[in-house]
Amino acid sequence: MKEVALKTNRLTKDYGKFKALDGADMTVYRGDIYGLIGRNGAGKTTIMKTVTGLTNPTDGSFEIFGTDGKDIGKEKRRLGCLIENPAFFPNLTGGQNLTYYCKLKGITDKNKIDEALELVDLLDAKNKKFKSYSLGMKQRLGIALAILDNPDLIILDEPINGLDPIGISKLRDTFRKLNKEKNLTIMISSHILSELYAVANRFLFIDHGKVIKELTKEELDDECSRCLVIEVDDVTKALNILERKLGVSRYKIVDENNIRIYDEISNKAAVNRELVMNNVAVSAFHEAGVSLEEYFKGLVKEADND
Amino acid sequence: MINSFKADLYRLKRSKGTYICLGVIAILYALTLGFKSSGGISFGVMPDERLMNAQKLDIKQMMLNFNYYFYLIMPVFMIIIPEFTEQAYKNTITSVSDKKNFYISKFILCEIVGLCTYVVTTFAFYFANKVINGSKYTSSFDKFAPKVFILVPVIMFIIAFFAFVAFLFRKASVFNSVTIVLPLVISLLVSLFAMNKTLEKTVMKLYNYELGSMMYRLVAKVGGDVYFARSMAICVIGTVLLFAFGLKLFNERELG
Repeated sequence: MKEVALKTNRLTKDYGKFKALDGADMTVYRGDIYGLIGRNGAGKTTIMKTVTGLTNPTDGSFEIFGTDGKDIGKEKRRLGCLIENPAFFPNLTGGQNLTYYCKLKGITDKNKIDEALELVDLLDAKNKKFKSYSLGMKQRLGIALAILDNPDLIILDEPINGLDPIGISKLRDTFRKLNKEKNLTIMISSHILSELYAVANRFLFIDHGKVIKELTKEELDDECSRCLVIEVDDVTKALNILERKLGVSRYKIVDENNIRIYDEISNKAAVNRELVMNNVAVSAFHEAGVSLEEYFKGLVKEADND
Repeated sequence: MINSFKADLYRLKRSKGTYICLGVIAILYALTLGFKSSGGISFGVMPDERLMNAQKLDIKQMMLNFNYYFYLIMPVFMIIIPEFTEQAYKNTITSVSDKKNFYISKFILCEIVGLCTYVVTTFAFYFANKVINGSKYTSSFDKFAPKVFILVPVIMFIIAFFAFVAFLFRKASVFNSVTIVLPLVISLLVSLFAMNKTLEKTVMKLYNYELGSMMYRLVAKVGGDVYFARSMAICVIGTVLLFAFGLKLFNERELG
């Protein structure tokens, strides 16, 4: 069984009458790169602020590596965070800022600063004052702080804001490398869906403070991939025909009536004819599949209608 | 907490503010030494001239030195305010400590740095005065040293008040406005209330416990043991209450 890195249970946060988080349930497993997707004001940052202790939940609970959120103090050392914009002392250099946090965390190995700066490609700017950094450099220093001292879980709120395409690509590689080599769990939010898709392996869609859907990359691929959706009265019988007579190999049973076929089928009418001739009632037969963006829009629309 | 102190001292060592603060204190003391006059700022303290003239320069400047109030603003300002103006507190609270420990460590560090600043600069003044102005203007060490430590609870109370204000408002502009203007406002209110004949006696009695008056009276030993005990109690209880109330407010407050 996978170790749970972060779990929330009906997490709720009210700001007066405004519900920033409305009973959010989510589970991040160790080793996940967990993407939080939502519009501005959807509740992504509120989740992050709540689980990192910047704000107190109105209701619900959370645990990090099995420790209840209220007693999380000692587990904080296992966390690395970048919430909203990177915040450092402007008159200290990048290196001095990281030294400050090394002292705060009790890290004695000075090499860790260079290692972290190297990972975010900021070693050359180590002795430049933070106030002279560009937005992208500031963002990268924030990430360097988050990965300092090899945490087990890093929480990054919109970390690619302000980065150029090469910077984004490098950062993506860094996240993958850290995740693979050090089994680092990463929770990351972004409104650039394609970027999040490129790096994460599990996703949480959130809107108006409510969790709309939590799914793996495979499930998301299934939801988004181009496919042929067939609604039949007897799934077992239909599959038998599809496999044996039509040679379909890539498919998914969605529920007791629906099958999704991912194989490229040139003669769709033949599929329908074959099923009907073998006494399978076909009540729907259509193509599906959307882009990630369209899928997200669809989810939000569905949630709004609910 | 020790790590937090080490980190903040590392930052303070690299801050221009630290050296400006020490420079300002040095200039103020240099003026006092040069002019052989107690100087300093005082609000509404009505010194007994006979008593004042009986003191030598080192004790005289302690009695009338409301400068302490102003230069104690600086350590608190440098330790707490940048955390909020630069929002660096987020890094500490999210991945090192929690709100409670953050508050406690900053509050204690302010007290330590403030007290050290007070003790070190006051003794530095004493020795500089002894070297520059000689024994005519300098009391014996035995007489001077206890007076320095008598004021420690008052200094702690002032620092606690500043730390409370810093955590409450978290903005440099508001912090400066409140701490700098407050003594003037209190002085003005006292003057206004004192104009009312029925209130005058009560107001003046209460005014004996105003910080500037307290410094003067404690150093000069005016008011006897009862005044001393009451003053100490006010400062200690005030410090504890400001710490506890500030902690409660900060812990319950939304950050970020």
